[in-house]
Amino acid sequence: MLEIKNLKKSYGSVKAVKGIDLKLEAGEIIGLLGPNGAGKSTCISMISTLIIPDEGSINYEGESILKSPKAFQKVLGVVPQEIALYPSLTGYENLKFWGSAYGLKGQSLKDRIKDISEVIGIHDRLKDKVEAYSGGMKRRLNVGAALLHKPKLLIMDEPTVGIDPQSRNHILETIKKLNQEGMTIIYTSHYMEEVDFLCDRIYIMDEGNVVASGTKDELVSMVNKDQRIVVEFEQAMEENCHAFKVLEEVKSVSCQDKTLTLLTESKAPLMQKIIEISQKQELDVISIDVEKPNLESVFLELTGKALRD
Amino acid sequence: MGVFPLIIKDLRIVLSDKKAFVTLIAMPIILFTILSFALQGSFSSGPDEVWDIHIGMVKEYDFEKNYKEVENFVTKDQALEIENMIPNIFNSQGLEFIKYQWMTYEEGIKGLEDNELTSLIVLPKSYIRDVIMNMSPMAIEEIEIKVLNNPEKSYGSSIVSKIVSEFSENLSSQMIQRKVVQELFSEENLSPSNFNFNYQQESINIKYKDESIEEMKTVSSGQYYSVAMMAMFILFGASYGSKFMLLEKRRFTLQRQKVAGVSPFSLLVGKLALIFLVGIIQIFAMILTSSLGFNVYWGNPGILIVLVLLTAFAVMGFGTLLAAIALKADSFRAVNMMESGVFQVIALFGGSYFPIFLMPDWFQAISKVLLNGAALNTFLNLMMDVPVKEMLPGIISLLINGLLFLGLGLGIIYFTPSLGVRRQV
Repeated sequence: MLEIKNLKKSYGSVKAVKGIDLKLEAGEIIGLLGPNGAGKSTCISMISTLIIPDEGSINYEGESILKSPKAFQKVLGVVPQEIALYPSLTGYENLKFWGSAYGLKGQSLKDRIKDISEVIGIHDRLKDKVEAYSGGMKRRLNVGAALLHKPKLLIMDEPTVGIDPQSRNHILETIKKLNQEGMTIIYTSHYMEEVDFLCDRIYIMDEGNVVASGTKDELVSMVNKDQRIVVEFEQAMEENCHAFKVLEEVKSVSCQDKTLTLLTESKAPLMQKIIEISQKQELDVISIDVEKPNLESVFLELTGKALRD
Repeated sequence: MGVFPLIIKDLRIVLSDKKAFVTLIAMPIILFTILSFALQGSFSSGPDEVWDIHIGMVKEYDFEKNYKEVENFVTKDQALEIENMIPNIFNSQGLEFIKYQWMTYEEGIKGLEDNELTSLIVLPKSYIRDVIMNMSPMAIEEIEIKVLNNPEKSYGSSIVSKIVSEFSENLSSQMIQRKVVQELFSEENLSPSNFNFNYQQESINIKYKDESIEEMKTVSSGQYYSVAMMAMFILFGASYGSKFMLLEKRRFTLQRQKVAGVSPFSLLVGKLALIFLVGIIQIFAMILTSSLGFNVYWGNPGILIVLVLLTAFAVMGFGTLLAAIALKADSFRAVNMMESGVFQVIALFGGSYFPIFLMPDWFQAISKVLLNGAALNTFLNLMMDVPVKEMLPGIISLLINGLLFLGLGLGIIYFTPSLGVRRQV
C-alpha cells in the first residue's frame, strides 16, 4: 500500500531523517517508536505531504505522492500532535469545517459529523466551544476531525500526549476498532505500552534512523532474553547476599541495602526458593517484581538510552 | 474546498473574538467621541468662522521711496493702483465677509495672538518697485508676500491663503505675458513708445469667486476625528489579519488544511479576503456610529462606498505585507513592534492625532503618501463634497499603497521556501 525508500530530510546542518525505508500493507497498524527528536514527526510530515523530502521516494499504491499529492490527500487522514482545532468555534463548527476541507457537504457531512461525534464520544458536547473542552475531549475531537472523510490511511502523530487515562483508553480503543474495520494506520508514540497494545509491526527510530523493525516478538527476541527479579526486604540484607548465590538458575546476584536483584532465564521457577531462603535468613519480604524483556529494554539495548530520555 | 468556507470560518472566529471587537471597533469609536469633543477648538467655531474674516495688512515698504525708483516708467496713479490691488480684491463684491485693516507688523502679531485676526498679510520692503520692475522684460525680482495665519481660525485663514496664492499666481502670469509680448515687439523693432505701462487692475483675474465660497463646506471636529480614528485603526485591523495567519500556523491548523488538500492559493485568498472584510467592517462601524449617533456627514453615499472598498483594498495590501513579515520571521514580535512603534508614527504623520491642516506643508506632503493619510484626506474631501477630480490624488495614493504592499507581501510569501507556497519536488 505504502512504500518509502531512503527518505532523507535536513534542516540546515541538522539531519532530521537520515535515510528511512518503510513498508506498509493494507489493514496494518505500524508503530513508529522513539524518543523526542528521533525524527518521527519529520517522517510523518513527509508522508502526509506537508514537507518535501530532500531525497527518497514515497509511493502510495505505486504512485509517487511527491509528484501528485492531491489524490493521496483524499484518502489520507492526519491526526497531528498539536491540537489543530479552532478553540473559539464549537465542536460542531470545527467538524463541519474540517469535513468541508475534505470535500464533504450537505447531508453527508451532517451524517458524518453525527457518526464521528458518537465514535469519539463528544456528541453531547458538540454545541460547546472547544476552548471549554477538557484536554482529553480536545484530543478526541482532534482525532475525529481526521476521520470524517473515511480515510483509507490514517496517520496519528502522538495523539494521546498529555491526556487523562480515560480519554487515552478511549482513543486507543477507537483506533483498534477502526483498524478492525479495515483502516490502515501509522501510529507514532514514545509510549511503549501504546505501541505494544496497538501495532502489528514496529519501527524503532533514533536520531533520524530506523534502528530496528519487526513484530514485538521479533524485536524482543533480538535482545537478551533474561528476566530481572527485584526483591525488597524490610531489613538491610547485604550481609545475607551469599545465601541467594547458591541458586543454580541465577546468573547473577546483587544486593544493595534492602534490595536484592537477580538475573535469570525468563522461565526459571524461582519464587518459592527466594521466599524459603528469605525465611531461613529471617528477612521479611515486602515486594517481588519480575521484569520481563519488553520494547523498552529492546530500545535500551539498541540505543543505550531510555525511550523517555 | 473553495475559498468561501474558509472566509466563513475566519469571520466566525473574528466576530466571536471579544478582544478584537474592543481593539478594532470599540476603541476607535470611543477615541473619536473623546477627541471630537475635546479638540473642537482646533476646528474654531465651525462653519460660521469663514463668514467673519479679519485680515491685518502690513506695509513694510515706503511708497514714496519705491515710487521714486520707478517714476520714469509709471505714473503715481498707476503705482497707487498697484498698491491697492490686494485691498481691491477684498473690497470686491461677494467678499464682504472679509474685513481688512492696515497696521504695523507688531500690531498684526498681537492681533493674531489675541485671536482677533484671521491672517496677517505682510507686503515686502520693495513691493511696489518690484512689481513695476517685473513688468519690464529685463527685470526678474522675487516678490515674497507673507501670510501669517491664526491656527485657531484654520478655515478662515486657509481662505485668505488661497486668495493671496491665486493673486500671486495671476500676477506672475501677467508679468510673464508682458515680458513675452515686449520681447516679440523688440524682435519686430517696434518703437518703445508702444510699451507704455498700461496696467489694468481688472486684467488680474482673481478666480476666487463668491459662489465657490458658498459651495465650500468645512469639516467639524466630529467629522475629522471619525475619519482620523478610522484611518488609524484600520492599520490595527491589517495587523490583526496578519497575526491571524501566523496563529493558524502556530496552531497547526494551517498545515492541517494543506494536508487536507486545501491549496495554498485558496488559503492565501481566504486570508486576504478576511483582512479586506475586517477593514470594511471597521470603516462601516465608524460610519454608522458617527452618522447615526453624532450626525456626522460622510458625503455622497455612492462615492463613499467606492472609497470604503478602495481603502479596504489598501489595508488588505498592508496586511499582506505584515503577514509575510510575521510568517517569514515565524514570530508575532515583528508585528507587535510595528503596532507599538511604527503605527504610532504613521498615525501621527497621517493626521490621526492632530488636525493635518494645522501642520506644515512638508508634514502634509508626507501624510498624502501614507495609507492612513491618503484615506484621511480623501474621506475629508468627500465630506466637503469636493469634486471627484480633486479627490484623485488621494484615490491614486490609496491604490498605489494597496498594490505596492500587496506585491511586496505576496513576493515574500512566494519566495520564502519554508512557507510552502511554491512546491518544488
